[in-house]
Amino acid sequence: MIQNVTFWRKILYLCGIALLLFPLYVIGRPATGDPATTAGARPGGMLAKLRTQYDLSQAQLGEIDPASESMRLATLGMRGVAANILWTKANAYKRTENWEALVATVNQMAKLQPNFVTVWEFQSHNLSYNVSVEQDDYRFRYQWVKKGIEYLVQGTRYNRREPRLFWTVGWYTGQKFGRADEHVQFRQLFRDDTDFHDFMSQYVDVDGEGQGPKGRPDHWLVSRLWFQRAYDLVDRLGTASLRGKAAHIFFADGPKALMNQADAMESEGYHDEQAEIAWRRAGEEWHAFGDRLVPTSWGVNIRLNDEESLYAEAGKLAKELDGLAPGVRTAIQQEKLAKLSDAERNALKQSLEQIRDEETLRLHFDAQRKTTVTDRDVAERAPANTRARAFQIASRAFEAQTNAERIDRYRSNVNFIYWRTRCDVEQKPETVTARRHIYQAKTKQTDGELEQALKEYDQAWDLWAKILEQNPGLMEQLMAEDLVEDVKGYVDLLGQLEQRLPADFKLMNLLKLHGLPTDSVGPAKGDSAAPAPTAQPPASTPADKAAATQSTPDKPSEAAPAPAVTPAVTPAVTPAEKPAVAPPKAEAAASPAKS
Amino acid sequence: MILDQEIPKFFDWFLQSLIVAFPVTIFCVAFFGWLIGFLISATRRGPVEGFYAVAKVIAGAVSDVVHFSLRRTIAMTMLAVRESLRRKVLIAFAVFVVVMLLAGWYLDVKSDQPARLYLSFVLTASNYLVLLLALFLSTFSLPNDFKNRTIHTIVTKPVRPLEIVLGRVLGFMFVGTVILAAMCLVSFFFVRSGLRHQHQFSVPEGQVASATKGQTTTDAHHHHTFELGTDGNGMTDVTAGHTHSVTKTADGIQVRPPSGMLQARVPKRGTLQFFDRSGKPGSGVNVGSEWMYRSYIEGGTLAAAVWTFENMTADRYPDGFELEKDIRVFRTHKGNIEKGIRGSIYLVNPNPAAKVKTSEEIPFVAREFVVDKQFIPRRLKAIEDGAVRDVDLFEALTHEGKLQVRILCSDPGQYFGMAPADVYVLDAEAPFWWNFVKGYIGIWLQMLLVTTFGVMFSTFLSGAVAMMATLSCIVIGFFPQFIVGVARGSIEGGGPTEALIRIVTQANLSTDLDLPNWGVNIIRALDFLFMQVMQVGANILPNYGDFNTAPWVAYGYNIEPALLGMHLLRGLAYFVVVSLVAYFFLKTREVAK
Repeated sequence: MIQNVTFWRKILYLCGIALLLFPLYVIGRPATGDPATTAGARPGGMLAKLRTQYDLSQAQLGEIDPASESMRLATLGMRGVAANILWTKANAYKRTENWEALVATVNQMAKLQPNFVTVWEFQSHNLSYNVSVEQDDYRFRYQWVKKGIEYLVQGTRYNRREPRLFWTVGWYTGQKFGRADEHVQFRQLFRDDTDFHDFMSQYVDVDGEGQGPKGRPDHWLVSRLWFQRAYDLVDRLGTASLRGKAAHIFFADGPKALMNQADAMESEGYHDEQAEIAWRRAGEEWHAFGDRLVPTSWGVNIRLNDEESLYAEAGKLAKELDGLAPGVRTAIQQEKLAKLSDAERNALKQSLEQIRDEETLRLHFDAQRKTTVTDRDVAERAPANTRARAFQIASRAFEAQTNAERIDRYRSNVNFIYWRTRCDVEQKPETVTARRHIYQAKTKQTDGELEQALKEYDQAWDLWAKILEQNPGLMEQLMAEDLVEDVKGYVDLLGQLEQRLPADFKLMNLLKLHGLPTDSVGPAKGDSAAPAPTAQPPASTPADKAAATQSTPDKPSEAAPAPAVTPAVTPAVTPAEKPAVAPPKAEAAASPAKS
Repeated sequence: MILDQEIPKFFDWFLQSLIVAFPVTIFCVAFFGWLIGFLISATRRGPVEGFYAVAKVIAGAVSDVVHFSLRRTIAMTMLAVRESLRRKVLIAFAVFVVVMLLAGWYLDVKSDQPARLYLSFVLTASNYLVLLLALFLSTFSLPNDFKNRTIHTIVTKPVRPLEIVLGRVLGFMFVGTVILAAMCLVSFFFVRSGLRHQHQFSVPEGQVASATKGQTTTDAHHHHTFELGTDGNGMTDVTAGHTHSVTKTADGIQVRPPSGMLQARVPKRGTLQFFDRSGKPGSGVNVGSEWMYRSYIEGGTLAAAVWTFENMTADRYPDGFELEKDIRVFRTHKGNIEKGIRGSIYLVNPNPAAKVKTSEEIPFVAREFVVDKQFIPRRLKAIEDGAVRDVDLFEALTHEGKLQVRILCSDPGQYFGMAPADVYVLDAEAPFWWNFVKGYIGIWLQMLLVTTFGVMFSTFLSGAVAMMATLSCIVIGFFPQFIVGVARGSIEGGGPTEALIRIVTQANLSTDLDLPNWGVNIIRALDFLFMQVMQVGANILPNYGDFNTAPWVAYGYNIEPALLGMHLLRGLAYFVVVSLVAYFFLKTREVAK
């Protein structure tokens, strides 16, 4: 009897197990492939489908490496401990300059944690920026920068859905080779490094779009191709894949790479149609960047090219509103003016240049704010029969104005106008010619042909004077600072010829703006008896460089530039405008940890 | 290669150890062993009985030693060997072979120093596998015998505890040695075949005769450039740590197999003295590096680094000698990026009254992270009475076999960094295979230590606990500096308890613990006790890193006989002492009595 009970209990258990196998199969059946891309592939059970839906499976993140998997298994669940030990060892090897062991250790680290993006970012930066500067020979420095880039490229294979990694490859390939102190040497080494070209060709079109002048790959163009890969990935995955990185700064680097390439080309002596084409291409891509829909921290998407059209629309709507409520705007303004105190009224009458004390300045701005008439104010006073329409127009005008202001802020982050203008100017034949004259002047000066050099400089200044006259906005920008450096070279040449800078020098206004070398000004050309002009006071400091978009020179152990932060968005309340809606706080993107 | 401490002369070390260290250690072990035994015995039986019990044990020990039988010990050894084979110990070798086969997955084939990488890999893999093997073999053997009661069949025979202990240790060591020898052989051929490669150089027809320089094909992820001399022979540049000789023949240009990859340099090291920028003896400059292994001398000044070498005789170096250096450069300004920093070498007579005081300047350009060779010929130019003339190096510039090598940096504002081991005279080249074997002897010594400790712990602990105890000794042995640093507080993060709390709460090392003061105090007190014990352990237990001679082999330096001798004697000392401790533990254990 008992035996029977035991027997039947076992049968019952077996049946229970068999029954449980069915739901287990439904839940846990593995996928055999991606049905979207592979014919006959099965999507698998519930868990496999969920993994696919949320992109959690290893295969969707990137390559699966048997070495990595076996190493992780070999740690017997103590992967974290092993990773800690490897990180400690890596730091010790770096400290004791044991570079081979360091590389071996970072490779092991990457195999243990292939999907931990920070490992790739941190250690590639370590190799390219920190280890490279420890080498005295520039060729070894180049090799180590390359090692860091190759390491990071490896990381992109394991993390195909991380546009940050692709962007970082582009950044290192461009900035580390192109902005280092030894950029001249690095650029040449890159051009000649066929092994590296072959390596990169597996991922980007080095032999096609990566070709620079004379059919040799240019690292700026290759970096742009990596940026493009990052952009394509974001277009496919959405901007959430940026993980907090500011989208407009992220997308700006591709066109900037073209500009850097064009600039580098000209500094190497290519002043012909190639330079014009390069700048034109950069301008087109900058314009395309301006047309790109970029998310903002205000929750709206903007296009950087739209600012002018939005302001125009706001102006048009304001006129339409004034048409619906004629004279109302003026009347409201008069009313507000009347309510001002005498001090405020007096302060408002003065222009900013006339104001000499802080109290008056404060009163001036207060008065401006108090006398601002917004479209909504006008709409409220519109005649009853048009009031509803007036409110509609006021609302649209406000939206257009607000978006235009937002675009303006985002533009300032990437110095959008400057680079647009620069591309427009640089692609013109006269600009290329002007640059060629300066290049030849420097070359001739180095070769000792001082008189010829002087002639070249003079021709260059004639052209630059015309260019700056047509584009006065460039006078306070980066390009002008470079020009001032060239003028200093000219002044040195004059010094060698025992001459001084003439008082009627074509770019004198530029020098005044950026600081005139007062001890070098002589009489105007053709007027040897005229006394030397009095030194002009140094001009006000020029506008800030576009630091967020300009690369910085390489320094020893310099950290890679931190991914840009979404700009602070505290609204500026200007008296002429309605207060903008306070946007949500920006989130800072995580920067690679320093070693 | 980094040498943190100078290797003392073997006999100096031996005499000092024999006179000071060894007797003190023996005395301490004996005294504390007796004291601990007495305290335990007194606790159980009272002081008088306890004293007699301890005396009886000591008397029994003397008797055991006197009646020690080699035949019985060998029998126990064979028993241990058979037991090891029964436990399928050869799987360790199979794992090793699998690791070698799959090594290509893990090794960076594009490494700049593939020889170093391969050698480090095989030595490290062998080291860890063999230590694991020794750990598991030694710690479970006796406890299993106790559990299965097979120990009774042994102790009832006229076998003494000392013979049991020695038999186990020798048996496991025999098995481990055979496996290690096999690993050594497999590794050697793995390294040789892994590094073997061949380059080609193709020259278009009709250009062979005129070709004097060129580039080889890319093989093993690298290529070389080379230049030929007028005699049609030349060498490639040094890439990936090696070079090839190149010969022009009628058929073309032949590139020979690699050389310089597997070496065992025998360096003659000298004593180093720094001189400051005004030429006075000093200590060198720190340029801000966290690692203070090297000191720096300023360029364009009288700052210098002077090595004094002894036994520099014409018999040893009939044609001259090879001076090898591995120095560092620190630039305070970029200077000419494409040119290296220049330096000067002067050979100086240590005798201030010598007629010929110094050689003419031997200029060089510093190269970092490579072994830069400079051949100093026997006949060279030196300065005598203000005039430059040809002299014989050994006749004019040495004094009682001593020669000074003075190195200066020529470029103002730049610095050379040097440590004592960075500059040496290449005395000879030892056979690589023998150096490789010596590297494995270091691993063998580590295996001896693990086996001995494992057997010792297994005499009174269960298998798993003995394994954990032995593993703890290994971990302490591999990280003694870290443990001492934590104990002394020079490493942030606190002791084990505090570190565990920081891990769980994800607090970083430098912030205060988010606990009330009394909690923090308790934790710190606990950790203090832990760390004192661990510090004692770190100072007493063997430092496995010291026995690890893999860097010597990987960097291509001969493992000095003095070093090997010191390691062997220290290993032997540990073996003797720990075996005796194991003997006493086994003897005092209640087994079928």
